[in-house]
Amino acid sequence: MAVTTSTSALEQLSTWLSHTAVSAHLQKCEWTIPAIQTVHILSIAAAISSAFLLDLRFLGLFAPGRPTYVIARRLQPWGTVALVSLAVSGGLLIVAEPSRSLTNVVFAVKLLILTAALLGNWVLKRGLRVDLHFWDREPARKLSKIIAIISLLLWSGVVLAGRLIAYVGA
Amino acid sequence: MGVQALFAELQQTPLATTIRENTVLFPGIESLHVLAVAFLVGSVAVVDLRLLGTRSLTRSIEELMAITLPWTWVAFATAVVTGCLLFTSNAVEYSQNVAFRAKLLVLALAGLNAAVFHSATCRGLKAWEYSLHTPPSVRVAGAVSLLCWVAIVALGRAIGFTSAL
Repeated sequence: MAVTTSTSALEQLSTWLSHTAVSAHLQKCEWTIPAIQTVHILSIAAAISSAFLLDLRFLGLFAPGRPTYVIARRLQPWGTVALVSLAVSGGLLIVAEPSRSLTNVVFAVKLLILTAALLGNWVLKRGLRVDLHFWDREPARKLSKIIAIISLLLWSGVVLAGRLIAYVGA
Repeated sequence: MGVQALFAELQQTPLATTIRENTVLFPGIESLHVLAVAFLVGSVAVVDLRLLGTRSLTRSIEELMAITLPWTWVAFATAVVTGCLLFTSNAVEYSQNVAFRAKLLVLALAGLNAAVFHSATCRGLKAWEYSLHTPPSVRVAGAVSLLCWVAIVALGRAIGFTSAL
């Protein structure tokens, strides 16, 4: 029953949002939505590229000559800026077309994968904060490689699910 | 036979028909295309920002290119293969789409810019590769590349919102 209630709550929220002035404003010009989507894609480019490069560093496939923490520090600001930009552009897209995402099962799956991906990144960075060479020693080294592979798959999943939102009718 | 007739024939091939009519194939390939383009743009930006002299200044341009460009090529190859498959499925319509044509044009410009940079500008690399203030020609190459890729993403997104000429 809880599921039914939460679904209808999302439907209500979706209907309410679609009647707000902001939503009407965003839908007024036909180029507003693709423009926001472009910002969203550029932000995802920054987000997944910084996540991918860090994962590839852990796997020894990117900048093997440089310490992992140096790469992590360099990529960190881009990941953070990208996530803020993703949240803002994504939020605007939800307000513009609430029924496209809020009641869409693929959107829910995307948020779930995103949470798992962020958790993976957090674990990798947490280790570096404890000790700059935390992941360099066994068995942590092996574990970091497994987390990196899972992270690569999860971030890919976020992008794939994001595009698939358009194909699953609300 | 004109180009349009060729495209018409192309989209009648079994491969094109399968992609067009299968409910999973087109969205799947398109998602992969977006993923490849996203990593492509991100990895290109890493080098472009270094050329502009704003990022990764502790690393020489040559070294940064050597570690980043292999991944750029992986992403580019994936984007080209998936992009061609998507084009095949609806060749006539895409070839007449304004945004699609503009995207290919900007893509060619980005390619030309990269080719000029790697063949001509790069020659004097040793002289300034560690310098914090890269020469104007290098900064222009980085800026043109960044602008091109932003435009390519915008035009790519616009294809679905645009109709034929």
